[in-house]
This record gives sequence, structure tokens and C-alpha cells, in this order.
Amino acid sequence: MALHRRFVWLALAGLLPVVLWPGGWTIAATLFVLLAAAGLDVVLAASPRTVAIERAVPRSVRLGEPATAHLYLRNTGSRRLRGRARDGWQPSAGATGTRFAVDLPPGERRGFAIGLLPVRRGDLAVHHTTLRSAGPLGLASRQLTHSSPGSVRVLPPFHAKRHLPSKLQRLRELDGRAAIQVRGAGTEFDSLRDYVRGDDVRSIDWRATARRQNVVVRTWRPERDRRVVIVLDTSRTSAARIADEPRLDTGMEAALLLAVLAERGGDRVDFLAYDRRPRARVGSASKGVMLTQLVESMAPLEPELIEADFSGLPAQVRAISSHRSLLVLLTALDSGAVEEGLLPILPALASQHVVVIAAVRDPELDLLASDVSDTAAVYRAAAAARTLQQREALKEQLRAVGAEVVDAAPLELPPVLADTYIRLKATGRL
Amino acid sequence: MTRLSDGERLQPAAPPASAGSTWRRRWRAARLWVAIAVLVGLAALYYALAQGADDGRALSPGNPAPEGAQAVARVLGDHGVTVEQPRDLDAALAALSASGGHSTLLLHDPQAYLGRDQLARLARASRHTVLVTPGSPQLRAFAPGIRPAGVVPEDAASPVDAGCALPAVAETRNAAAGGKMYRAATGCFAYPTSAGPAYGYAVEGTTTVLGNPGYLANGDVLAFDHAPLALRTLGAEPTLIWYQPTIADHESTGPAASPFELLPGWVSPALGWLMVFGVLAICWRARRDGPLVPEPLPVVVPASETAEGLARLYRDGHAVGAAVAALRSASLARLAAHLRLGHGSSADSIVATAAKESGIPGPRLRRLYFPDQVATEAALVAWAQELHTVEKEIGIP
Repeated sequence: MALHRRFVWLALAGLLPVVLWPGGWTIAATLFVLLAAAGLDVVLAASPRTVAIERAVPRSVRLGEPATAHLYLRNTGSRRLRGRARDGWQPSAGATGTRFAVDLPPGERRGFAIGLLPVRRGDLAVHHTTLRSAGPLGLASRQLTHSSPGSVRVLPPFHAKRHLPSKLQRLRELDGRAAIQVRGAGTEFDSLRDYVRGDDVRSIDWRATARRQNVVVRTWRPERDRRVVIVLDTSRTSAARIADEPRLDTGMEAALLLAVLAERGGDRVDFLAYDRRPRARVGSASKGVMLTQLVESMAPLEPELIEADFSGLPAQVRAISSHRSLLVLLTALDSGAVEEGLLPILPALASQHVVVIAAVRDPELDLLASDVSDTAAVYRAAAAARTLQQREALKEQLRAVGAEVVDAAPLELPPVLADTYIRLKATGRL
Repeated sequence: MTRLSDGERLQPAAPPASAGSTWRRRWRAARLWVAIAVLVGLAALYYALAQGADDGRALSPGNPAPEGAQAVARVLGDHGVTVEQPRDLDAALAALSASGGHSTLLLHDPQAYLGRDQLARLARASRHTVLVTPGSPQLRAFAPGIRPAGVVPEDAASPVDAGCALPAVAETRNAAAGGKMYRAATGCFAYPTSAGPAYGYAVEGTTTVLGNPGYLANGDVLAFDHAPLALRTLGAEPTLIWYQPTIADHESTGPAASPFELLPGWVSPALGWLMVFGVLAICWRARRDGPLVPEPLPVVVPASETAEGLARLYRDGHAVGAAVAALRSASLARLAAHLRLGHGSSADSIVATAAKESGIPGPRLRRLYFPDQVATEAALVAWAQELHTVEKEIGIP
């Protein structure tokens, strides 16, 4: 039961009899008349229990993009239902139009559109719909909350896709390039073509030239069908917010850009979200729909408040790929976590795979380290300098055991990681 | 059929629970509050009844508290004295005239509610009067010869002797000192002053004045010889009219004592109705359209908090040495990188190369990078700023 504004105005009008015939009995009688009118209204209102609810929710929406969900109300009762409804979306769904007027003749169905503009990644849920059925006098309503669950999966935004055209361009430039500039193990023979001025003379294929009139050079292409394994660390360090974005989300952006790039480059991409156990896995079996699967599996990931245990990682990687692969580990370079967890297993991994460790660098620390305006600032600068030096030392240690280290600010991490991939591919180290 | 866009699916919601189970669920959610409300109501009712039963006024014959006087009234009643407690002045006058002169009037009016005319009417009607801690108006009406003489602090440790030969005080050797004092021709429990003695118990004609309420109060009546004093003083006549005026007896002197009496009669019912209206309006606004929707919030950890914590540790411990070491080695590393000097080079060689390359005098650089005078925080700030300046001069961004 819920009262209406009209009821409150009527209660104010009840002042008139109280003033005309002052006394306790007048108050009691007026109150009784008011409550009886409201009760009659509630009894005459259509039951909200007779409404059947259906909802149609888009399966997924990209973060920051609008979507529309639909709510269908069908009146299965025999009385016309007028009133209001409210759909209980969680606040971060950014739902608009969740409170609307309802007018349902008996047996009919009406649809209502609800605009969504999610502000958070993950599964955003709606649990219930509340119906208010007003009585004919407009004094009071019956109210009932229906359980009507639904959820929409909000995918990572993939802002880094704006870097994709330029990186793809660079990847294409690798194709068909004269191999001599990048001679090394693993470059594959591609085709023969006529010599043009500027080609390295060392790449001339003399045997083919002998068969033809023109000088012919060999061209090479980067290896294809190599395996790229992206491991995203979802442990407690991934919850840290750098430049108003958790490390986890920055890692997702970098992983998405790298995955799309590697797939276009002809490599097979596997994705693993891991802290103590695998949180999400996307295999390389299904080409073409890889990006969709990747964002779908990334969407519900949240930082887990536990310490990462990398000792199980080699087994996980072995289960994904037994061949030599490019293993990209998106984690944090916090001295404790990495020294104890990652360093012991890294030599074994690096001997079998090409290991790239990508981490987000905190630009705040650089700012802190350069501010020496007063005593507190100097102490902060000293602490920041010490943290940065520990980080540098850690990077040296990682490089010493044979890992590539990519350390960049949040916005720069995806393109820098993509550049690293292209460089490794160009030098034939995959 | 509803047209659904790509990727949408139609999900029918489960039909709502039956009305009975909904009400049961609501009852389960509300029963704690209902129980609390019932308990509070019962407690309020109990206290209202308990308050109504006894009389909380000081020296009231129905008050069993230490400042009440139920003990004296009961003992008098046991000895055949009828104790009456009139509600107002008219009842007191009626009781006085009904007793036909064989009564004692006890008047206890510390707030001086009674006016001069009312006191005069009482004085005319009463033959035998006991005034408890009276003020000047009451004394003028009943015993013009007795005058107030101020207040003496209570002193329970040293009683004062009766020192008089009044019949009511015959069995009383001593009583507590203190209370209101009065100057009179006849009195007991004298307190010597420069202008002659002041009495705590004064008599003029048929009027007795008690200066200390402790002679009657439950808490003090058993001390010293208060009990015989009280019984003798109050039990002289077969009827005791114990009159304590209230605010209702106060005779207004101005045209209107209370502004509410000037208002028309409908105002207070209207105000009452407005309160009802307020409650209804609260019910209208307080009803939520459905339950609150929780938002599962993610963990938020500021990334630089470990560095901030380290900085606070440095500052709390005044770790000037550690701060200098950290800043110096960071600066040396930047310098080495700027001069392309590799990781293994010593501080000496870095500083020497920097002096050669930048043209900054070597001694100045050496003083800066091998500091031995930085002991205070002020020196630390100056040194760090100098380091910053030199790095800029050398050209490190």
C-alpha cells in the first residue's frame, strides 16, 4: 500500500471540519473517513499480482555505449491496471526511464524501453520490478515487487583499438620485405620478385636469376602460425588504480590490442586470466570470433584479493601450448610479489618460450620524485625515488633471466606492447 | 510477436509469490520492530501508571522518597490524627471550616504560589497553623511578629540544642542545625547573630514556623530528635490539613496569564490535526517504490600508497640519512644514463665525467654528491633543491 499526493491534500482539507467543529471526536471521525476512503481505493485497485513480466535484455554492450532493454507487462487479471512501475537496475547500469506510468487494459500487453548507459565493466543485474496499482479515487495504491531477474554483460571498452590501424600497417610492412635487413633464425621464404633499385644485393637469388632475363631477389615474410599466450594477472596487485584505471583494465586493453594484432599477423592467440587458479581462458581454436570471445570472457573479471601464485603457471602454459610460444605476462612490478612468485619460475619459462613481462608504470611516482618544495615533499621524493630504483633493479633482474620487460604508463602500455610484439616478429624471435 | 534485436532474449519472470506468503514474509521482516514498539509502549504505559500512583513533591504526605514526608503522615495517622491533603485553596478552606476549628493547617508553599488575599483568607479560617520554611508574605499573613533572618548552611554533624521551654519541644533535646532562620519573640534552636538570636523553630500565638524541612522529611526525620518534634508540632489537633499549593492556585495578577487562553477554541484541535496530517505526509513520502538496489563495488587501491607510506615512515623517523641516500643514488643513476655511462660505473667517475661534460665546477658537484653536512631537515630540503637545480643545469629533463 502506498499513499498518493491527492490523499495528503485531502488530509489537509480535513482541517476544515476540525476547525468548524473543534474537538477530539471530529479529529477521530475525519481520520476514520480518510482511512476508509484510502482503504476502499486499495480494495478497488487492480491487483498487481496478476501482471506477468517478461524482459528482453541485450546480451552484451560495450562499456560507455548505450543500449536498450525492454520490459513487457501483461495484465492477466480482469481489471484495468493503472499506476506506475519501477525497474530496479543497479546504479552503475546508468538506466534511464526506469520509472514510468503504466496503463494495462485486461488481457493486454505493453512494452517499455529502458535506456542503459553502463559505467562499469562486468555483469550488471536487475533483480526486481515494482508495480503500483492506483485505485479509482486516486488516493492510494497497492504495491508489489516482482522478482524479474536479468543481466547484461558489459564488455571492456577496448579504447586501444584506435592504435590498431597504425600497428597493422607496420605489420603489413613486414610482409614481403627483403629479408636481409632482418636476417635471423626463423624467417620464412615467401616469394621471388624482380630486383628494384634499393634492394640489398645480398638477397639476389642467383639461381633464379640465371633462369630468367631479369635479376630476381628473394623476399621473406615473417613466420606465421606462431603461438601467442597472453596471461593476465588478476591477483591483488591488479586492483591498484593508476591514472584512474585499475591495472586489470589497462592489462585488458593491452591484451585486446595484442590479441587482435597477433591474430591479423597470422598467429594463434590464447588468453589466460590467472592468479592462483585460472579465472578465464580463451583458446585459439576458433578463429574469426576470437575478439568476441575474448571480451566476453574478460567482462566479468574482477581483481581477486589474494596473492598471485605463479608456481602453477608453467603447467597452465604447457597445457595451452607445448611448442615455443610468445608468453606475454601482464602483471605488476611490485618487488615483493614478483621476486618471490615470478623470479623462481622465470628461467624455466624463458628457456622454453619468449617471455615478455608487461607492467603499468605509475606516472604519479615520477611526479612525486621530482617535487622537492618542502620537507614533506622531499621525503615523498626520496620514497618515490627508492620505489622507482627498486623497480629498475627488478627489471634488470628480469632481463638477466631472459625476459623482455615492457614498462609504460597506462595509456601507453597497449601500443608499446604491440610495438614489442612487432619488433620480436620482425627480428624473427618468435 | 515481439521483435527482438540481435543478441536479445526474452526472459519471462517467475509469477509472484501468493498473497499469503508475501504477508508472511513482510511479517517476518517487521516482527522485530513490532516487538520493539510493543515493548516501548508497555514501558511507557507502566511508567505513566507508576508516576500517577505516587506523589513526587517534596514534603508531600504521599511521597515515600527521602525528601517526601510519608513517614510523619503515617505515624500521625496511626495515632488517630486524620491527615487530609486538599488539592487547592477552596478545598483547604472547606476542610478548615468542616473541622470546626479542631484542626492544624500545615502550609508548605516554597514557590509562593499563594497571593496576599489568599493567604489572608487562609489565616482567617485557620486557628492552628504550622508554616514550613515560609517567606515574608506568609509570615505577614499568619504571624506578623516573626521576620525572616536569612539562611544558615545545613550542618548535619553538630546538632543544636533546643534551649527553650515550649511544650511542643519538651521532649526534644537537639535537632539538625541550619535551614531558614527567623527572628521572633519565642523560638528554639537559636543561632546567635550580632542582632540577637535567630531561631529555626519560632512560635507566635497559634502559629508555628519550621525553618528546616528536615524536621519532617522521610530521610531526616529519624535523625536527632526530629521525630518527637514533628509529631508534637503536627499532632496537636485531631485533624491535620496538609496543604501544599500548586501552580493551579496561583492567582493571576495581569489580564492574561497564558497566551493560549486568548486563542480561539479551534486552534488546539487544528494543531492536533496538523500533527496527524504531518504523520500522513510522512507516510506518503516515506514509501519507497521498491527495495533498494545494491551496487557491488570493486576494490579500489591507490597505487602509490606504498610510496606514500614509506614517505610517512621517513618523515616520522626523521630519516634524513635514508632520504639523502635514496635521492643521491637516484640522481646518480639519472646522471649515468644521461652521460651514457653504463651501470657499472662508480659514483666518482660519474661525478668526474659530469663535471667535465657540463662545465660545473668539480668541487661543487663533489660537495653535492658526497654530502656530509646534511643533518637537519632544513639542510635536507636545501640540498635536495640544489640537487634538482644542478640536474636541470646538466640538462636532465
